[in-house]
Amino acid sequence: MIKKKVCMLGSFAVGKTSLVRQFVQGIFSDKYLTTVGVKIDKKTIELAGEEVQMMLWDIAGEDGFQRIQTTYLRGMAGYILVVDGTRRSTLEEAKNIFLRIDEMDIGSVPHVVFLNKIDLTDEWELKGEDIASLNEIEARAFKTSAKTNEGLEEGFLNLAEMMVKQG
Amino acid sequence: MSGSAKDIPEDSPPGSGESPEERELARLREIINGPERKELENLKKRLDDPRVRAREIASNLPEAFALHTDSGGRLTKALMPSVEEALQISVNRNRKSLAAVIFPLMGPAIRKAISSAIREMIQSLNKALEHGLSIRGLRWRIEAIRTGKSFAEVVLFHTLAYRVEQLFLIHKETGLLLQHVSAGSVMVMDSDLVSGMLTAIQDFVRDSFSSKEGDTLQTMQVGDLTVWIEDGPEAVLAAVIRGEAPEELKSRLTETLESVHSMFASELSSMDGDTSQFDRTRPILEECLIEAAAENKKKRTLSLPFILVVLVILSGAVYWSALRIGEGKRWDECIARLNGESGIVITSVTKDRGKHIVRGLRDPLAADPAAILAESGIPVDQVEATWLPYQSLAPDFILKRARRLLLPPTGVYLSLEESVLHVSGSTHHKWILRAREIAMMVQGVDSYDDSGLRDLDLPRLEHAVEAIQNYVVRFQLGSTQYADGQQDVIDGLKRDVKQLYSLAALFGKSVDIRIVGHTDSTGTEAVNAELSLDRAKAISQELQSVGPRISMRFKGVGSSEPVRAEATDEDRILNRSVTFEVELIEMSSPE
Repeated sequence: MIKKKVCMLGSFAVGKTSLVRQFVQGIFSDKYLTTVGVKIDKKTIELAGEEVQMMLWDIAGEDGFQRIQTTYLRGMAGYILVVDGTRRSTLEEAKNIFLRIDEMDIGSVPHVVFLNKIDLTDEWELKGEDIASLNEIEARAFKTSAKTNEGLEEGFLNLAEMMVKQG
Repeated sequence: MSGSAKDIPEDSPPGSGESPEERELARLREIINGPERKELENLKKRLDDPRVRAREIASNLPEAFALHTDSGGRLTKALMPSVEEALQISVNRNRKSLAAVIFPLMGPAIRKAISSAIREMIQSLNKALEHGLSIRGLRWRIEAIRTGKSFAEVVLFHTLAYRVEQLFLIHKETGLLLQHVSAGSVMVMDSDLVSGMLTAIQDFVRDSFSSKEGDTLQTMQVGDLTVWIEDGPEAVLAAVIRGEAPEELKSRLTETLESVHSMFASELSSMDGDTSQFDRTRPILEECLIEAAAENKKKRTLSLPFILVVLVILSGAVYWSALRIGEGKRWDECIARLNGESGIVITSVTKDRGKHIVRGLRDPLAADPAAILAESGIPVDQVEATWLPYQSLAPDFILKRARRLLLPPTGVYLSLEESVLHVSGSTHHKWILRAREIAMMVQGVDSYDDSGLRDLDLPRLEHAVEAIQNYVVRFQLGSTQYADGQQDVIDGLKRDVKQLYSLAALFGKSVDIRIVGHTDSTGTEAVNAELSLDRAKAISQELQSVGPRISMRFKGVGSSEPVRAEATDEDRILNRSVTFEVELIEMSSPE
């Protein structure tokens, strides 16, 4: 079995925790996020007949007051940038996070972007050019919903593939 | 080298006598073999020139090493002796450079070893203190004595009941679980998640509370569960322990982690998420799932040491009470004896804080109470005695006091009869006089009787008087000149007169000496009377030198009172002399 450390990153209240709750098995309560600043869950998927276990480090949301504790990023094989599709600013913040990781000198780390809350179509703020701008951060984007499970499986699978390829 | 056939017919025989066929053949050979031959020559040159060879090997060496690393470490083994030797030479040549290299490693390693040793020591010390004074501690102490083990060993044996329930081998960088082992019946949460969270918490603690690079969270305590986290360069070993584990277990974990590091060095450094390669660590980890039996909660039986202790305590109590009873009896006897002692009167006996308090009267001449206490076997420090002085009127005390005051010499005996002090025996006059003076001062003596006492000086006085009266000092015929040999007589006379005077003074008497001068019957009476008076006068003057206070009278009796009736010449010689008469006169006052 292949195990990989994956970090879930994104602004405050973009729905990271809801995403993983839909998707994964976990034993720790959400309280860990506000206390320790991280909560770990795992997701096992099958990739070309082999099991890949993703250890998902749900790291407390980043906003003006709280910055990501970079120690938690150490050793990650991939990361997911979560954006709240109903809040355009969270896209910019995701880009900033990418840049910071890029500066960390840990080489190119596989990553994907989840454009979350796609079920809230009425409030959706992101436009085509916004999504296209994600090329800047060399990331593939997936429209996801923690409510409907849309895009989740695909997104995780894609990241897993990239990570396994990277070795 | 040119390609012309004429230039290189090296293998063709020299000389010009070749046939055209032969030359053609050589040309053909040259055409066919030429390029290969050149290549062969180049190769030969490369092989023959050591400098070229060295350059080539140097350029290939790193690649060759890289290729070799995977092939079972044969190269490493081959290099080892050379490397070791090189290190040896380096150390011998310049220790400083090597020291500088390893210095950054030494410090932390030594510090870690020391701090771990101190922690172990403190733990065992704490335990010893904790259990040192309890009943259980006492039991263990007895066990230690019985078994010959040290007390610390016994304490550790009884208290360190623990079980290593789970072990997590965690990849340090990613927090991924490499291997997990657990003891049989332990309920295990998702070990992957626990591993990740454990890493996260370690990061959290380090980030939050410590700024130093090497600091790590080493211990977590939850109820009776302890999580010990051993930190290595590539992997972390976390042990979940129930109960109180000894500090030695920590060293065991460290050793395990070290052996994992050495056995899986390459796997750890190139970890890409494939954890199956660490399945081989299971046996090593499982060895650490140690279970230490706790003190058995046996049903309460009377153990041998317990019985012994009870016996010792009981016999101690019996001995003590016997001692107390004996002591009480001895005390009563002692008080009775003190009371019976004359010159000692006990007025009160009390007890205060384990001490006997005695008050009473004691004649200074009575026996020493401390000596009586000591004879009774009662420690002096257990008794506080106060004695007021008094004088006993018991006959023996009156006699004692009389003896102390009169100091009777040997030969003098004192006795008391109804307040009358009788003295008997014999002694010198001087003591007799003094005794008469002071005897009545003795407390309890009403009158004094020394009629039974003989005065040793009285016969001496009588004797001295007689001796002087026996003296006859002879003179020459018809002269006041002493006869031959009379000077000695006079000297003796002087001595005796002196003694008589002092003896008489002792008895309070004065001495009256009458010196009587004599003549023989020849010659006229008138002449004789004068001569005899002169002779008495001469002796009188002689005796004046003895002392000024000597009272003397002298007279001459002529031949009227001859010393001896004259019949022969011898009688006549004796009559030409002076004789003495002594009278002792009682002095009215002894001044």
